Amino acid sequence: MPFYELTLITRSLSKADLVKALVRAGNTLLNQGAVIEKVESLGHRDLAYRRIAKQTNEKVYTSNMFLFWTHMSREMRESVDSILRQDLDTVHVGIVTNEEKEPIECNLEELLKPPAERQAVKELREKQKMGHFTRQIVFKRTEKEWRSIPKSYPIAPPRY
Amino acid sequence: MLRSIVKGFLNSGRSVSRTAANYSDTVASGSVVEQSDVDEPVELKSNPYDKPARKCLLCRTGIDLDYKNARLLQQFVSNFSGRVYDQHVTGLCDMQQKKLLQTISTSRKAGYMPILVKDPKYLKDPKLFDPLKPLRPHSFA
Ligand SMILES: [Zn+2]
Repeated sequence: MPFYELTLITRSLSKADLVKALVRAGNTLLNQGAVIEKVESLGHRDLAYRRIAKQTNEKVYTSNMFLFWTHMSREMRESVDSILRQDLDTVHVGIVTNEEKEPIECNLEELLKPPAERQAVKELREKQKMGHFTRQIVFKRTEKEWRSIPKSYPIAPPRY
Repeated sequence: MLRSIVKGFLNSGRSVSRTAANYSDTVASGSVVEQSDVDEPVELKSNPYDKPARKCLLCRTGIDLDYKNARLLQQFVSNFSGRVYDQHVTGLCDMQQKKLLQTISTSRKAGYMPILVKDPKYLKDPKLFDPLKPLRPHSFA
């Protein structure tokens, strides 16, 4: 089962209600068959943007954020997401996987070279490697330039 | 005539093989390019006085971008338009810039980072780069 990080933002609640809401969220996760590794409180903090609580339509600017470390299957993820989103006490649910880390090779030195020395530009020159849309843009430009050449003179050129 | 040519060819081949044998006896080193003659000037494969390759900010410091670290991510976002700066301004390598864009989008979806603006709390954070002095004139993106 892949690892997911579930971010839960509740609406502003009293402590007792908050405990109830958290336990409910945890129970929905467990009932769906997920494994909870850890629950973290990210504290009562300013939200990144305003949210609107369901039913009461109160605007939520600051509230409690929680982070669940869970393991669940991909099908479970969708059901858990839909259930938690429909909960009246939650304002936002975000479920994020941790992507596999690729080894990063820094090619800044290559980018800082002048274009004539860059490998990508060399390939472009030699192999005429061009995407479909770039090719179309080039075609349109040349077509436009070609069209802009007058085919006949509005005033006939003088005869000698 | 043909025979003489063939003889000459054979002789020249022998002489080449001899010099190569001499060379292999005298010099054996990985960093030196092989020469046909011992008395030729030595050519090195790599320039020993080359400067080490420059690296971008994130590669140099080894900082890993995390979607929960909204403050770091917002240092790459414009104060004025709330949009992510281009690669020629941020001065990141290709992979880091791609990763930055991905992380910012996940962070916004997960509700850690504002979508349309930069969080006013972080407006006075230290500047990592100067948008008026980009690395390259334009990203041509
Ligand atoms: Zn880099």
